Amino acid sequence: MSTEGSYYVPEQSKLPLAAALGMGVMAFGAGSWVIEGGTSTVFLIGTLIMAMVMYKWWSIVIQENTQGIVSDQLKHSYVLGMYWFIFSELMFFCLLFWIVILRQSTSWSLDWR
Amino acid sequence: MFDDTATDAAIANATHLWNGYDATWPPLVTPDQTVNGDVAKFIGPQEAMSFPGWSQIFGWLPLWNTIVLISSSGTVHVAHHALKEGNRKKFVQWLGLTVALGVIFLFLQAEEYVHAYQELGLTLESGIYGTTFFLLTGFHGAHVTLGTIMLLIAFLRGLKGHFNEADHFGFEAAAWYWHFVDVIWIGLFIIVYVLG
Repeated sequence: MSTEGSYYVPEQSKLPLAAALGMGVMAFGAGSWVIEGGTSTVFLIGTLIMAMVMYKWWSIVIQENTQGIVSDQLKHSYVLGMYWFIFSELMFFCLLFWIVILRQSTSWSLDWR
Repeated sequence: MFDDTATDAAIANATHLWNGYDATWPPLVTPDQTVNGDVAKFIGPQEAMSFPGWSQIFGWLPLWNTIVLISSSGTVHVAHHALKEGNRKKFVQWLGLTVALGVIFLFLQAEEYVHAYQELGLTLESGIYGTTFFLLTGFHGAHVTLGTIMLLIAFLRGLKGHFNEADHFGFEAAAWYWHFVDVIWIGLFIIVYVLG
């Protein structure tokens, strides 16, 4: 962990990579689970990877917080990060709602060209 | 406007995945429409989860889910206020209640899926209605699960006395997320259950 002035530069981490892997395995596993005759094994492996990532990630963040090495700048970045995370989630659900509203409309053949 | 001639790769994909699938833009023809034609738009379960009429309103599970989730948004708000006032005991109690309501919601949702599959014939195979129903409620349920885990971690940290009046973003972020999940449910309740 290094500190450049008041700007917090965290240590390099392999956790985002592991999280991406875990999410990918979970998504693939969920897909193959709901297909007729599929099993939940791959999904559960993905869940296990995610559980380990979340445990580790939370441990690190909580340690940083209790040690008091969290600067104001980092706190602000957490707030902004959460704003944009929730905004992107909102957009994701807008997409899903759009699908349903399209389905409910009388015709599927909207010609946008 | 743009070149929509199918490439060799696209043709190979179409043959492997959905034979006879007519790729159009916007992609509004679903694979089961290529099999069942326009009928696919109307294939649905014998019964849906929609509004059952005022006489059966209290037996309507989605309504109970709505009540549980809106209440949990209220309890997390009370917990937040208690923490800002420095009342940690009240904070932990109301946050614990919120986590419990989250778990109850998930339990009711699992119950609803069992009901849908076993009694209504509403499955992933029941046309566009079935797939969109499970797509929306499933993704929302996954978000409730994550939100509940986040609040549970905040609860455990609250028990350990990690938060104080000024410094509690770990909890606040989870609370924001929880309100977001609640807002999405209200949209989902209206679009899927009331209008659907």
